[in-house]
Amino acid sequence: MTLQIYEHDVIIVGAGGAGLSAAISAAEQGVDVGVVCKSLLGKAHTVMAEGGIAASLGNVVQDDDWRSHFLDTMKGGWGLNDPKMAEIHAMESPERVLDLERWGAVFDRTTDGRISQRNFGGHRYTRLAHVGDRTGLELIRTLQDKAVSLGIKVYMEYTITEILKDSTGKKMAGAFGYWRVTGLPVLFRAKKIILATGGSGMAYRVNSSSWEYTGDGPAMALRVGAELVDMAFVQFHPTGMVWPLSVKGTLVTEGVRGEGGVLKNSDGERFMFNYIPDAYVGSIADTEEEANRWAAGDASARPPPELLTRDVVARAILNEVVEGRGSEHGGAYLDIASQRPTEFILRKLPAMYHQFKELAGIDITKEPMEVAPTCHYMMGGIRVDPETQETCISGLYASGEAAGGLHGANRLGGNSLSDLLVFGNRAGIHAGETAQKMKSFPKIPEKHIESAIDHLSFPFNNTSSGEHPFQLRDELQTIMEEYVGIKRDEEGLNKGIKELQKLKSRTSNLVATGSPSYNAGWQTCFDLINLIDVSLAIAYSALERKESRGAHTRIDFPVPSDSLGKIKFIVSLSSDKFNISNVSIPTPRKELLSMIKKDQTKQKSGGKK
Amino acid sequence: MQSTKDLLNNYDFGSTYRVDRWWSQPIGVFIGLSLFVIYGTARLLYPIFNPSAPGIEYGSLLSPFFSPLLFSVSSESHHALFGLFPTFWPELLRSPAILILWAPLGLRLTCYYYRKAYYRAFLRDPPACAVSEGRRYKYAGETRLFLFQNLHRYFVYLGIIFICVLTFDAIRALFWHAPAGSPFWEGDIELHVGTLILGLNALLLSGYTFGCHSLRYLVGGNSRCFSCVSNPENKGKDPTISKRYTIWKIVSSLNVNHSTWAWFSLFMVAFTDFYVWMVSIGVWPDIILLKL
Amino acid sequence: MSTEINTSTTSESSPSVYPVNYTFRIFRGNDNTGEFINYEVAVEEGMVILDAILSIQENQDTELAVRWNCKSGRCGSCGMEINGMPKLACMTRLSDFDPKIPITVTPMKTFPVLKDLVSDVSWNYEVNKTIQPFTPNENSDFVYQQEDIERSREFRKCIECFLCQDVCHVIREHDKKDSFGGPRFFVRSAALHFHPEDTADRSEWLKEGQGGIGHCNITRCCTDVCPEHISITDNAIIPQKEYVVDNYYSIWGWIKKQFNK
Repeated sequence: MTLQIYEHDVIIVGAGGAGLSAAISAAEQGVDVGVVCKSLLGKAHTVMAEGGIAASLGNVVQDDDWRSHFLDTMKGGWGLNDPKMAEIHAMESPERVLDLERWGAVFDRTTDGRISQRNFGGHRYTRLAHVGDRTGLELIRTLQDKAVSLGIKVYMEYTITEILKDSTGKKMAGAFGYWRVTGLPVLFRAKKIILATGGSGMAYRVNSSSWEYTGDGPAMALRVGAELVDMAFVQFHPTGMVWPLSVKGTLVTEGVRGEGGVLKNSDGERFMFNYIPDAYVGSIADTEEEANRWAAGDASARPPPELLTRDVVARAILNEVVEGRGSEHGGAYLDIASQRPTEFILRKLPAMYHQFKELAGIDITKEPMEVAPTCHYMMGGIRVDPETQETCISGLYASGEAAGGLHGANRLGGNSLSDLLVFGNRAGIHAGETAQKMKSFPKIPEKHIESAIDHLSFPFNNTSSGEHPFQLRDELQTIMEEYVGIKRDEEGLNKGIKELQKLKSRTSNLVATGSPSYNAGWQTCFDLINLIDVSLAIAYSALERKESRGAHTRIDFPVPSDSLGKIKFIVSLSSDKFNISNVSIPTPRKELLSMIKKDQTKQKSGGKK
Repeated sequence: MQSTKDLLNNYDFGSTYRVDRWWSQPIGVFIGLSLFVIYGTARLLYPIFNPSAPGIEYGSLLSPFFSPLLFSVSSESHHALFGLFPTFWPELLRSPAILILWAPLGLRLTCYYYRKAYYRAFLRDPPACAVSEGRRYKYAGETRLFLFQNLHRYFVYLGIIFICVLTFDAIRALFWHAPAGSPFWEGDIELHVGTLILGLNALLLSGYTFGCHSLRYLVGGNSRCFSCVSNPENKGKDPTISKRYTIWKIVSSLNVNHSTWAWFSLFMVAFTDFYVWMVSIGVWPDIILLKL
Repeated sequence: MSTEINTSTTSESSPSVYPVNYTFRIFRGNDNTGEFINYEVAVEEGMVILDAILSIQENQDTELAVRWNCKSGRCGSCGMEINGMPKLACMTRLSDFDPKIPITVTPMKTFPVLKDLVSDVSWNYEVNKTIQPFTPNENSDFVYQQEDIERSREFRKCIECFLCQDVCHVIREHDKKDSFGGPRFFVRSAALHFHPEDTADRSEWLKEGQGGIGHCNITRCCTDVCPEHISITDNAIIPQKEYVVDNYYSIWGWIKKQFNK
């Protein structure tokens, strides 16, 4: 096989929001940038984002500022967030949204002609800048056009299988993979690499991801010595479609609830009033009457419990189903038809209307939707420096969903788009600046390249009696759903880990047949190797975290533990063995700390906002 | 294994993997437009060969094919603006339609809907979506011969004048039996079936003309921002939506169904002419519905 | 005079008891040689074409190449021709087809076939580079009303599935790839042109450049196949044709130009 070699000062793996933001800001530092992506440009999962970008622009509610956004993020993350990242995120996201506008994004407007904002769960103020319910598409198209106009080279349909280090074994030196069109190997030599590969939703059967989201970034980083953080926290979005089967898991935007949609069980009861957690008692409406006033625009009313954080709503729906009050296909009813006029729904939620009309034959302006939790987001990811996004491997960066730390135990809706803009931008700037100062490309030892090439063809060399990749993926999803799903316990996790280890040992027998060009079976072999590593990291972290917090629910430890609330678990890999260690969360700086305390006392006294 | 060219890129006329009746629409359009052209030509020529009973007008009714009636072929005309055709005018061209029909025909010929219809049905360019044309080269679209299509906006200006004329004709068809030499409004007010037909015709033609793509562009579509302060048009104003937006919205709402308006108005204009022709030669009576 | 096109054989014959066996006649091959292979798939209620293809890939033939991502009509990856009509495989429900008649699935044939159902759409990305990007007024304060974003918003819905490019006969039949941009890029230039704050004049690109809008004879197939229901012809192409008339063929425009000289 002939090896194709490309050189760029900065290589970005992934062309979603984080990857493109990073590419743009790196290119603006004057370096040569290449973007490598698994699909075509503009198809990354960011296009699926619907609701909006959380940024305290204060266009709708003037009281909003970065401090309250910071507090909401910390509270939504159950205090497990990296405070420095949360602070940077809250401070910089408005500016990033304005960047998008300057680059041509067309946001919904307020009556005085500025960027409009909408409500979302866990945000005390109306905060999400949005473009109907196609915010992600607008975001990715804007970034894509900006990147194209900057002349950034994009390598489409390339799979990266390995990060290569230099001979010292401490520094990143390049990325190796293949072009999916031909299946031929390719090496990207770079001074800096930014991993922006997104999540790993494919580990679960019911997910809102496409086939691409197989934890490539975290798994590859783990294998070269980087650390993963907060891996126990997997966000199950409360509202995924449940019927028909073929679209099970496809996302229904939180914007439906933000625009006034309510959740009902089969008895027609708005059950969310029964699930308000202590931390939110006092800041959420406790009667339907007050919730209705809020929906009608009464500023003195508190938001309805449907807008509680995603972890809470997901568990509530699950509980209703378990207790026999689920909908026909095992979910809850999400009803906006009875709350808002047709014209309003069509204007605010056109993509949702389209999606249900064409895929399920349901008219959401007349009928309720059926929804149930779906695996949506990894709060955990590669551990990075809060300011530069560099990992502990010099020259290797991560941003977006692939990186961890910002969201803590649970991510607020709208915070992921702002996350990828803010930290994509930061990673790009830092990588660009430092790459500019480097005179030469790091050297990659020949034998590393040779073994990477060898590794590529292993599935073709195995005999046909080996493992079928799609079948193995199916087994993986079964294990994850059964033992490492929404509700977990020690016994199950131990079993799950054992099964996952068994699965991991079977990956060396994976088989692919035929030509390497666009070979989905072959591709799935590499996806699986990554997925299993990430799944193990999730399971190990979940086992270690003996408490229930945010998206992580342990049946055997149903309440949060004060001591565990101060530490983060770190996963690393040494000679194929997973190590779990912990670090304490840095204390926020004084000003922020007193803000958090003040906010908590205000909460306890039950004061309205 | 076969060559991919044979399997997928077969450019024979009509080659496709479509299994529906893709040919039904182009054939329908072909028949519809052909019938109109045949009828229209026949009616255009009719007065030349039947100057004594040209079938152009009946009482206060005037056929839209011949309106405005500049010169008449018979001396009994109520509507002719300048009397009979001048004597130098060649006899073989003595049809009042020749003088005016080019304008509405030009409007329809260059219309953005009809272009689609006849490019597909008559020029098979393409016959239907994803169906091969049987020809790959020498295509210039609207860059050479069809450059004249860009005149559409001027035809729509003329079209609006015709709407005024036809509306006037419809109003005039309310007044009957005015004494010779006095203005038409001194006649009796009578509502005939013909009055209604002329009115409906004017209405449908207005719907068609005021939904024109070019007009939609000219009334507001050419404005790139209706409220921007940075737009030179709105310099120094508040960021409020300009009036042109409302007009553009109205034209746009007619424009959405432009093809429907096009077909209904086409049928109606031919039917109106046919009706006037028939009553004028006494095939059927023009029933009086209401008399004041 | 409806322009809706239904390529399904008949929807009355859609089954009521599941699973039902459907036969798929799928193109396998590359740009040089190929063949049609028949696959039988047991179809469950609510399945779309892409589900069936993925099921073939997982259970019958792991080599079958297909491009897909979101599976809910948002990303525009799975464009292909189903019974001859360009469609998104993820949005085409099998209940609209008669199980007794095989369904023909071919790649978007306007572009070179890479493998099976995957076409090489890179030409489109090259065309995109020729369009002048968003160019706001330097002093713009970006204050404008909701009404002003409606037009641009419609064009920005585009998911770049390139079905319109595939169906457009100027590219498909006449192969004007060197002098024509295609509907997708008229949508893109319209999105920029009607952005409330954009100031660039793209009429030269439209008339003389890669746009070549004169080649378009507005036969509307692009609008017919658009899965996002963008009125490409009425709202994007025609206003830009008129914009070209403004700049090149209008009497007023000519007079204005003489004055500005």
